[in-house]
Amino acid sequence: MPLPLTKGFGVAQIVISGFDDALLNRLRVRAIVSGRTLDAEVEAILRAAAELSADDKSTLLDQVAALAPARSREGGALQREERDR
Amino acid sequence: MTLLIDASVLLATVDAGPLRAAARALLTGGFDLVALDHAAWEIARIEHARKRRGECSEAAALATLDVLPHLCRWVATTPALVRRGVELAFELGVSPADGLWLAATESLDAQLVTADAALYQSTRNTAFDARIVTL
Repeated sequence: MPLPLTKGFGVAQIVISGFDDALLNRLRVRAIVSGRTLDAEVEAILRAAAELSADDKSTLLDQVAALAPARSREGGALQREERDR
Repeated sequence: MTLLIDASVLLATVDAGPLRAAARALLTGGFDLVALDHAAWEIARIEHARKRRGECSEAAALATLDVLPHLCRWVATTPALVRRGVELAFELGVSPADGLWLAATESLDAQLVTADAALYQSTRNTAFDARIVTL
Protein backbone atom coordinates (compact mmCIF):
# COMPACT_ATOMS: atom_id res chain seq x y z
CA MET A 1 0.00 0.00 0.00
CA PRO A 2 1.57 3.33 -0.98
CA LEU A 3 2.27 5.75 1.84
CA PRO A 4 0.36 9.03 1.74
CA LEU A 5 3.01 11.51 0.67
CA THR A 6 2.97 14.91 2.30
CA LYS A 7 1.85 17.52 -0.17
CA GLY A 8 1.43 21.26 0.12
CA PHE A 9 2.53 23.73 2.75
CA GLY A 10 -0.42 26.17 2.77
CA VAL A 11 -2.91 26.79 5.56
CA ALA A 12 -5.11 23.73 5.41
CA GLN A 13 -8.84 23.60 6.00
CA ILE A 14 -11.06 20.63 6.60
CA VAL A 15 -14.73 20.89 5.69
CA ILE A 16 -17.01 18.21 7.09
CA SER A 17 -20.37 17.99 5.38
CA GLY A 18 -23.47 17.11 7.38
CA PHE A 19 -21.73 17.50 10.73
CA ASP A 20 -23.90 16.32 13.59
CA ASP A 21 -25.37 19.30 15.53
CA ALA A 22 -25.38 17.45 18.83
CA LEU A 23 -21.70 16.59 18.45
CA LEU A 24 -20.95 20.19 17.52
CA ASN A 25 -22.66 21.38 20.70
CA ARG A 26 -20.67 18.90 22.77
CA LEU A 27 -17.48 20.21 21.20
CA ARG A 28 -18.55 23.80 21.95
CA VAL A 29 -19.09 22.90 25.62
CA ARG A 30 -15.76 21.12 25.76
CA ALA A 31 -14.08 24.18 24.22
CA ILE A 32 -15.63 26.44 26.87
CA VAL A 33 -14.51 24.11 29.66
CA SER A 34 -10.94 24.04 28.38
CA GLY A 35 -10.91 27.78 27.68
CA ARG A 36 -10.21 27.41 23.97
CA THR A 37 -11.96 28.50 20.84
CA LEU A 38 -13.95 25.83 19.02
CA ASP A 39 -11.30 25.71 16.28
CA ALA A 40 -8.52 25.37 18.82
CA GLU A 41 -10.39 22.67 20.70
CA VAL A 42 -11.01 20.61 17.56
CA GLU A 43 -7.39 21.05 16.52
CA ALA A 44 -6.22 19.88 19.96
CA ILE A 45 -8.43 16.80 19.74
CA LEU A 46 -7.22 15.98 16.24
CA ARG A 47 -3.60 16.59 17.19
CA ALA A 48 -3.87 14.12 20.07
CA ALA A 49 -5.70 11.59 17.90
CA ALA A 50 -3.07 11.85 15.16
CA GLU A 51 -0.27 10.63 17.43
CA LEU A 52 0.84 7.20 16.31
CA SER A 53 0.92 4.32 18.73
CA ALA A 54 4.00 2.12 19.01
CA ASP A 55 2.30 -0.49 16.81
CA ASP A 56 1.38 2.17 14.24
CA LYS A 57 4.99 3.34 14.12
CA SER A 58 6.22 -0.21 13.60
CA THR A 59 3.72 -0.73 10.78
CA LEU A 60 4.74 2.53 9.15
CA LEU A 61 8.46 1.70 9.37
CA ASP A 62 7.79 -1.78 7.93
CA GLN A 63 6.05 -0.15 4.97
CA VAL A 64 8.95 2.22 4.36
CA ALA A 65 11.52 -0.56 4.73
CA ALA A 66 9.60 -2.71 2.26
CA LEU A 67 9.84 0.01 -0.39
CA ALA A 68 13.62 -0.23 -0.61
CA PRO A 69 15.94 -3.21 -0.90
CA ALA A 70 18.52 -3.76 1.81
CA ARG A 71 20.82 -0.77 2.14
CA SER A 72 24.39 -1.31 1.05
CA ARG A 73 25.57 0.54 4.17
CA GLU A 74 24.04 1.03 7.59
CA GLY A 75 22.77 4.27 9.10
CA GLY A 76 25.92 4.97 11.05
CA ALA A 77 28.14 4.66 7.99
CA LEU A 78 25.75 6.72 5.87
CA GLN A 79 25.67 9.50 8.45
CA ARG A 80 29.48 9.50 8.71
CA GLU A 81 29.82 9.71 4.94
CA GLU A 82 27.36 12.62 4.85
CA ARG A 83 29.09 14.55 7.66
CA ASP A 84 32.60 13.98 6.26
CA ARG A 85 31.59 15.02 2.73
CA MET B 1 15.83 12.06 30.54
CA THR B 2 15.46 13.34 27.00
CA LEU B 3 17.11 11.19 24.36
CA LEU B 4 18.46 13.04 21.34
CA ILE B 5 18.52 10.72 18.33
CA ASP B 6 20.48 11.45 15.19
CA ALA B 7 20.08 10.52 11.54
CA SER B 8 21.96 7.26 12.01
CA VAL B 9 19.36 6.02 14.51
CA LEU B 10 16.42 7.17 12.39
CA LEU B 11 17.91 5.42 9.35
CA ALA B 12 18.58 2.27 11.35
CA THR B 13 14.84 1.86 11.89
CA VAL B 14 14.41 1.06 8.19
CA ASP B 15 17.78 -0.64 7.66
CA ALA B 16 17.89 -4.38 7.20
CA GLY B 17 21.01 -4.46 9.35
CA PRO B 18 21.61 -5.75 12.89
CA LEU B 19 20.76 -2.42 14.56
CA ARG B 20 17.21 -2.32 13.27
CA ALA B 21 15.65 -4.09 16.24
CA ALA B 22 17.41 -1.83 18.74
CA ALA B 23 16.45 1.31 16.81
CA ARG B 24 12.83 0.16 16.56
CA ALA B 25 12.73 -0.63 20.28
CA LEU B 26 13.97 2.86 21.02
CA LEU B 27 11.41 4.54 18.79
CA THR B 28 8.47 2.54 20.05
CA GLY B 29 9.51 2.29 23.67
CA GLY B 30 7.76 5.35 25.04
CA PHE B 31 10.96 7.36 25.57
CA ASP B 32 11.12 11.14 25.34
CA LEU B 33 12.79 11.26 21.94
CA VAL B 34 13.85 14.41 20.17
CA ALA B 35 15.79 15.07 16.98
CA LEU B 36 17.41 18.15 15.59
CA ASP B 37 15.89 19.30 12.28
CA HIS B 38 19.38 18.96 10.84
CA ALA B 39 18.79 15.18 10.84
CA ALA B 40 16.00 15.59 8.30
CA TRP B 41 18.42 17.44 6.02
CA GLU B 42 21.11 14.79 6.48
CA ILE B 43 18.63 12.03 5.69
CA ALA B 44 17.34 13.97 2.69
CA ARG B 45 20.86 14.19 1.27
CA ILE B 46 21.52 10.51 2.01
CA GLU B 47 18.27 9.38 0.37
CA HIS B 48 18.89 11.63 -2.63
CA ALA B 49 22.35 10.11 -3.06
CA ARG B 50 20.91 6.60 -2.76
CA LYS B 51 18.36 7.34 -5.46
CA ARG B 52 21.10 8.79 -7.67
CA ARG B 53 23.16 5.61 -7.24
CA GLY B 54 20.14 3.51 -8.16
CA GLU B 55 19.89 1.97 -4.69
CA CYS B 56 16.27 2.98 -4.15
CA SER B 57 13.31 4.44 -5.96
CA GLU B 58 12.13 8.03 -5.70
CA ALA B 59 9.04 6.79 -3.84
CA ALA B 60 11.20 4.96 -1.29
CA ALA B 61 13.39 8.02 -0.73
CA LEU B 62 10.37 10.28 -0.23
CA ALA B 63 8.62 7.74 2.01
CA THR B 64 11.65 7.71 4.30
CA LEU B 65 11.29 11.47 4.64
CA ASP B 66 7.51 11.25 5.06
CA VAL B 67 7.81 9.02 8.09
CA LEU B 68 10.21 11.29 9.99
CA PRO B 69 7.64 13.69 11.54
CA HIS B 70 5.92 10.75 13.22
CA LEU B 71 8.94 9.27 14.96
CA CYS B 72 9.90 11.88 17.57
CA ARG B 73 9.76 15.53 18.56
CA TRP B 74 11.78 17.89 16.41
CA VAL B 75 13.71 20.94 17.51
CA ALA B 76 15.03 23.71 15.30
CA THR B 77 18.65 24.53 14.63
CA THR B 78 19.39 28.11 15.68
CA PRO B 79 22.33 30.38 14.87
CA ALA B 80 23.36 30.20 18.54
CA LEU B 81 23.38 26.41 18.41
CA VAL B 82 25.41 26.43 15.21
CA ARG B 83 27.89 28.86 16.80
CA ARG B 84 28.28 26.61 19.83
CA GLY B 85 28.63 23.60 17.53
CA VAL B 86 31.52 25.19 15.67
CA GLU B 87 33.11 26.17 18.97
CA LEU B 88 32.91 22.54 20.10
CA ALA B 89 34.26 21.39 16.72
CA PHE B 90 37.36 23.53 17.27
CA GLU B 91 37.66 22.44 20.88
CA LEU B 92 37.25 18.70 20.32
CA GLY B 93 38.60 18.34 16.79
CA VAL B 94 35.34 17.01 15.37
CA SER B 95 33.42 18.10 12.28
CA PRO B 96 31.08 21.11 12.54
CA ALA B 97 28.12 18.76 12.01
CA ASP B 98 29.24 16.57 14.89
CA GLY B 99 29.82 19.72 16.93
CA LEU B 100 26.28 20.85 16.21
CA TRP B 101 24.88 17.63 17.62
CA LEU B 102 27.08 17.89 20.68
CA ALA B 103 25.85 21.45 21.15
CA ALA B 104 22.26 20.23 20.93
CA THR B 105 23.02 17.49 23.47
CA GLU B 106 24.36 20.14 25.81
CA SER B 107 21.54 22.61 25.14
CA LEU B 108 18.77 20.07 25.66
CA ASP B 109 20.55 18.50 28.62
CA ALA B 110 19.98 15.24 26.77
CA GLN B 111 21.66 11.93 26.15
CA LEU B 112 22.69 11.55 22.51
CA VAL B 113 21.95 8.15 20.98
CA THR B 114 23.80 7.35 17.78
CA ALA B 115 24.67 4.44 15.50
CA ASP B 116 27.67 6.41 14.27
CA ALA B 117 30.74 4.68 15.72
CA ALA B 118 33.08 7.46 14.63
CA LEU B 119 31.06 10.09 16.48
CA TYR B 120 30.98 7.92 19.57
CA GLN B 121 34.73 7.28 19.47
CA SER B 122 35.60 10.93 18.87
CA THR B 123 33.94 11.94 22.12
CA ARG B 124 35.64 9.41 24.41
CA ASN B 125 37.51 11.05 27.27
CA THR B 126 35.79 14.39 26.69
CA ALA B 127 33.08 16.20 28.63
CA PHE B 128 30.58 14.33 26.45
CA ASP B 129 31.87 10.90 27.38
CA ALA B 130 28.86 9.99 29.52
CA ARG B 131 26.35 11.83 27.36
CA ILE B 132 26.68 9.72 24.22
CA VAL B 133 25.59 6.13 23.82
CA THR B 134 25.53 3.85 20.81
CA LEU B 135 22.72 1.59 19.71
